[in-house]
Amino acid sequence: MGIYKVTSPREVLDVEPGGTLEHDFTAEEEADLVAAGRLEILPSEYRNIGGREVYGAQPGETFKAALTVPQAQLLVDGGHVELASSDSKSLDKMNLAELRAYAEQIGVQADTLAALAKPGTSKKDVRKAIDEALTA
Amino acid sequence: MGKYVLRDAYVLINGVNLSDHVSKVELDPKWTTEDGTTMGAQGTSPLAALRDEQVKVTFKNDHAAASVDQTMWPIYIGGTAVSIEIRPTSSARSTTNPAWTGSALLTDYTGLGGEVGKVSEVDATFDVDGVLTRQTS
Repeated sequence: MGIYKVTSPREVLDVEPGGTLEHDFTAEEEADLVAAGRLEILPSEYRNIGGREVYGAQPGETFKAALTVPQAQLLVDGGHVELASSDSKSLDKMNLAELRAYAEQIGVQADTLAALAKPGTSKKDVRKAIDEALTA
Repeated sequence: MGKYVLRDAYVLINGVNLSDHVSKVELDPKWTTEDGTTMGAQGTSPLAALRDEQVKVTFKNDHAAASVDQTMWPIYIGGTAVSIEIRPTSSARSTTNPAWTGSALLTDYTGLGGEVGKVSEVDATFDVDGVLTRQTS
């Protein structure tokens, strides 16, 4: 999931100019949008999971870099990095303490969260489902 | 810094430090030329046209996770330019430790090679997309 700033005078995927957009573009889509001046790649945080220095980060450390889709994919394919996003942990993998803490963080009852915690549901999807329910 | 023996060259490929497996590194910057020779000249008159630059690296091969082959093969297969940085030593960039940086396409990669009883080495040639930049900070 890339993070981008909308740099064109027109919206990109309903995000206003100057706004931040998170989206999974293909390499070609990203390259076209960046070359057209519509998007700027913003730094994402990665964790060095390999055995050698990557972008100045030693194994186990995290670093921020504005990588293109192909650049990031090459590092993942080479076994060097993973995204360090805290949203990467799905709810069904959380223990009770983590579930309660996350429920408190987003302002819902823990049992509501548990009901949404289908296997593989990401924290991002849960937050989106809650937002949609609240605005319906 | 005076004359020196190359022992600690720093080689970064797509942000990955592969220096500890590099046995040889070579910058190969050159100009293509056009012939500006005209009548009356006693010799040719080359005119500088475009910079045509390559970076060549020889690695001691290694198929371990996150090592030479697992880093370089996806880059070769991907067919897209990656960032490269070469320095004389692993120290920070400075006027006496310049960095040549650029974006380059891996056009030649041996993958596997060597003679019986010898250390396996692989050669990689990067064609620079645009030009290399020499940076001292």
